[in-house]
Amino acid sequence: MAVSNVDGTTEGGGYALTASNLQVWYGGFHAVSDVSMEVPTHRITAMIGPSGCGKSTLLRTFNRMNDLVDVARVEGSVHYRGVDIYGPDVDPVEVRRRIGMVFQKPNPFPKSIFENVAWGARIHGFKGDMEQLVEDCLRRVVLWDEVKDKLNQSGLSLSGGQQQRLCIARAIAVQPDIVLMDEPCSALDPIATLHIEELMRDLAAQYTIVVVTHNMQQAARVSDYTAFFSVIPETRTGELVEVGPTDMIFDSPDNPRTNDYITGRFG
Amino acid sequence: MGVFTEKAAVGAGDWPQGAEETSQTRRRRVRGRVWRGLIRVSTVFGLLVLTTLLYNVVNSTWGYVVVRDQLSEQLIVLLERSHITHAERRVDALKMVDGNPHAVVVMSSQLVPAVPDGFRGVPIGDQHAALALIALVPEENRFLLGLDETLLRQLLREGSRWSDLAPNWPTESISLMFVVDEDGVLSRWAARQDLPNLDNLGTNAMLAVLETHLSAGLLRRYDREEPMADRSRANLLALVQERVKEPEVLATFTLRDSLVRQGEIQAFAESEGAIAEFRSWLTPGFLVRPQSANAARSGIRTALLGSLWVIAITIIFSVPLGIGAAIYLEEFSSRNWFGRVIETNINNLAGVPSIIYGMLGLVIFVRALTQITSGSLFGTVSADEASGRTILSAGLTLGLLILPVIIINGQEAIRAVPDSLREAAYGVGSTRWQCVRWHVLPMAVPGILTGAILAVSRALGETAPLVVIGAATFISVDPTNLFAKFTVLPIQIYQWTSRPQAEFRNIAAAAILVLLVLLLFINATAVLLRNRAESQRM
Ligand SMILES: Nc1ncnc2c1ncn2[C@@H]1O[C@H](COP(=O)(O)OP(=O)(O)O)[C@@H](O)[C@H]1O
Ligand SMILES: [Mg+2]
Repeated sequence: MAVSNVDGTTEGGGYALTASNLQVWYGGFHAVSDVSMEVPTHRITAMIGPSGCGKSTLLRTFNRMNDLVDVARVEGSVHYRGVDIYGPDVDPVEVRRRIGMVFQKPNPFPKSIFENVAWGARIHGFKGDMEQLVEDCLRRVVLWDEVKDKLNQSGLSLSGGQQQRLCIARAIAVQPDIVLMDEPCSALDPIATLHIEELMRDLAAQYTIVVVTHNMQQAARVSDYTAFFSVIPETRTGELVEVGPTDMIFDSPDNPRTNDYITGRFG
Repeated sequence: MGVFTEKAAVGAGDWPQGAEETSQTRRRRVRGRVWRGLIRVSTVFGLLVLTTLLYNVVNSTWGYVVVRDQLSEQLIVLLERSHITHAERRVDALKMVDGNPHAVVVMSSQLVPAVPDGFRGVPIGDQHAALALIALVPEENRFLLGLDETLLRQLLREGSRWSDLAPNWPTESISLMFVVDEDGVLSRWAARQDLPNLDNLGTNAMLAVLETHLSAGLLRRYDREEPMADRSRANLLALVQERVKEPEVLATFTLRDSLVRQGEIQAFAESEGAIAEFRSWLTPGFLVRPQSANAARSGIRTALLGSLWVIAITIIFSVPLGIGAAIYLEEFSSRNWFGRVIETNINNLAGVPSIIYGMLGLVIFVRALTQITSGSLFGTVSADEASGRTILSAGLTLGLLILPVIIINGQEAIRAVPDSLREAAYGVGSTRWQCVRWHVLPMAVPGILTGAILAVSRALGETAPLVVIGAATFISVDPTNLFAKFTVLPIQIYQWTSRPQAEFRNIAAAAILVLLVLLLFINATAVLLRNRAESQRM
């Protein structure tokens, strides 16, 4: 996979997100230790690693979703457009508008398909043509033709794959820069998975995507960059082992643990 | 024997096999069946208890009543028509004649100048003014014509059949009553025939009846309440029913007795010279009449209105507050030790006996906040006659009582909303409130409503705390505002059941039915609201 336009500047441009010395605790449990990594703009970055190594936790620190977990505590910084999103003046609501999220289990609102897409835009005070916006977003996720005649039906009436595409449409309806996806295909069948993967490639032209996956083929298929995480066995604390262009991580990883994991001798 | 032969496997000895497996499986099944049986028994038991309750209430709400009128309607009408006036007010003895379908004969020491339609006057022995008798005989009863004093005396003393008195008269038995004065001289004798109803009397006739039968003092009292001449016909009729006819309940019977012992009841009524009538104690009139010292005339309007007022205040006070607190505790407050202390406290409060809340209400609402709860602050009563024992105090006290329950149920419902929904909302940049308002609440509303309604139902049936804060036990003035004295249905029911007269138990049962229907109504409303809320979320 071609890698270009990575200039390494921290100020916007090449990197959409820059995490420095991120640590996450759940109460007294040190879940993620000292992660520093960059997320390149308009690329797909995959996060892989054994279950429980803190991928989801880390992903959720990228849009301050962990604020909602009472016991969670985050140290370090995540810079987005030159601003530390954990800075004192930052409202997480504004962060999450620009850094959207798609979850492991499709979770459409129990409302109409139209409302699922429109709601986010509405609460942010979108003043444009709402119907146009909904149509655009649904077209973008290749769902429009399937649902255009039943926009008033419940989002929950769709199939799993359709629901997940609806959730992606919902995420991009508020015009984010970055879309975080936490194992978006793990609850889907192979065909639906394929659709979502195509969609991700398609969306990468416009959005920066970070995707957690336990499926290494998927990481290899869709991502431009891959970050490999592992756990320190004694403490169960997650750590970043290495990060780099996907073909490099898969073909010639620096770290033998990465190699073990990728070739199936680990985790 | 186990059906399937075991393949020789490692550790086969660790598993039951063959007959052992069979018996092990059977034991598991038996255990399951025992539990199922127990559960079924407890369900049946619960149903039985409920049925018994309902049976008891229904059993007392309908049934025979043996009533004896002080004066039969027919006689009232007759006396009115025959213009027998005060001089003949000792008509109470005439009540004995009730039930005879054949004829009416009234003997009066006064000559009756006018004879009502359909009756023929037969003056008897008009030379004895003191004993002048009159027989009013329907036209059809021709056989009574020619009745003279001798015959009459004979009839009154020994006749049992009409034909005993005159050979050409019918052989039907005489079912009438003889009333003989103490001196042995017959002064009155009467029997009854189908007469027009009391209801058919006009206003003037009704007035005349009242004037004839009521004492002057009583008349003056009624006149003071509302001038007799201005009263409506219905009002006069009610007065006549109450004061002249004066039905007295001799005995009441349960529905069951009424069905299986009908004959005995009729016989009893006859022996008492009374009428057995099948009565529903639950009537539209029962709902709209105020309380009265006479069970048959008593209604539950005051208590029903009191309950509705109080429960309205309770709902307005505690439902918004409770739901608000539930939302705050679940969605906004952080889970620290302080929150946990509050939560534990609320849980404990829900278990505090209701009478304690009554005492709390007494101290806070009735005493400390008298100015507000009596309305004296708003000038509805003067400060020196201000009393805090009002609807407002009652509603607020019950509100306090159910607040913890509403909060706990609300929290439960909100907690049941999956976090994935919250994450979905926050994921598109929602604020906490937007997430709660548009996603959590719509999802939780059915559960919240269920909890709130259960709590309100409980409040509707509460007695103890209201007794403590001083609900009135006997009151016949409708509550019309927040600062009114009040009583409520359960208190009314309790008060009625503790009265010695049997018929109060019947109206208590009828009131219980009303309370049950009210509860059912509230629950049905809740179900409707819940279904609507459920159908709105997709
Ligand atoms: N809300 C939470 N509270 C406490 N511990 C948590 C919470 N979420 C995750 N963890 C713990 O943090 C570790 C990392 O979890 P997670 O990020 O979900 O791993 P992954 O997504 O890589 O499987 C796990 O040990 C998990 O038990
Ligand atoms: Mg995960």
